[in-house]
Amino acid sequence: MTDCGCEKAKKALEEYLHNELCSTEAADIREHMANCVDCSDELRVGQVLTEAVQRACDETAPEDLRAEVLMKLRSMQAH
Amino acid sequence: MQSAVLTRERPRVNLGPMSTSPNPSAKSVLFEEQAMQYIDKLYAHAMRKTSNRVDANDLVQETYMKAFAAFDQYEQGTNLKAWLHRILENTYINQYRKQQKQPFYAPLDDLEDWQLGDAESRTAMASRSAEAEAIDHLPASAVKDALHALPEDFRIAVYLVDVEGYSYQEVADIMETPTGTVMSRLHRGRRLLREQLADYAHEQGIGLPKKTGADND
Ligand SMILES: [Zn+2]
Repeated sequence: MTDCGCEKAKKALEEYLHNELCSTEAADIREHMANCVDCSDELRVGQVLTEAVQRACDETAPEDLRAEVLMKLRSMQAH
Repeated sequence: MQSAVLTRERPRVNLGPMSTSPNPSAKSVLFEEQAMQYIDKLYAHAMRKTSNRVDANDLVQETYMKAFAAFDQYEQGTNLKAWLHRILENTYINQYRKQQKQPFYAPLDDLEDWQLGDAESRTAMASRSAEAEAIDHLPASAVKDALHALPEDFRIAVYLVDVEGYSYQEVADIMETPTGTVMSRLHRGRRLLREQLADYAHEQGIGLPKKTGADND
């Protein structure tokens, strides 16, 4: 078991968070996170930020937009 | 008789089942079946681009028209949703930016890191857990405002990765830019966002002690 260290963990944190690392790299980071409060707190901030963005971006298309798109599509295909 | 009633350019279709059209092509049936389910996602994307409902509506409509016109080029089995997001990006670039006749701002990818500041040092958090707590309790409107204060390319990269869950490579395809650029936009966007949210939390006194350092930037 070799700890990758804080520097590497912090550098790779965003990619780790976004599932961009290969499984070996991800496993290294995960292991470091489990043993380092500083890095796991940093990861937590990143996760909370992602969740906050997700909440803020939740949208439902207006019903009349859906209707208008369908109408236009059907008029397009009528020709 | 009916022609007198119909207004000038009103297309003669109703919104009932497809039976009104003499012979709905297999293409249009397939398109509706496959593409319409993503309208909420495209609308959310359009809202992040335009920041207002009227333009977002137009952008979504045009995206669907273009996508339908180009549907023959879509390869079945590949990611249709990503394909639609890409068309939306393209439509926006080709039409809205031109229409608005805004001066063209160079993308901010070239900014040096020091110009963007360092989130950790600038916000001087009592602790990361306090920061996480604060972000977690911010109203969605504050997060939305902060998101819209980001440079557009940063905002879209954050949106596509964090909300839509696309990989960096998929976002590179949608935004037609190298993966390295996506990473840089994403990281900088998230860092700026974090800073802004921390500032907002400080102002509102949400779960955070006052900044220790003076505003020296
Ligand atoms: Zn660490």
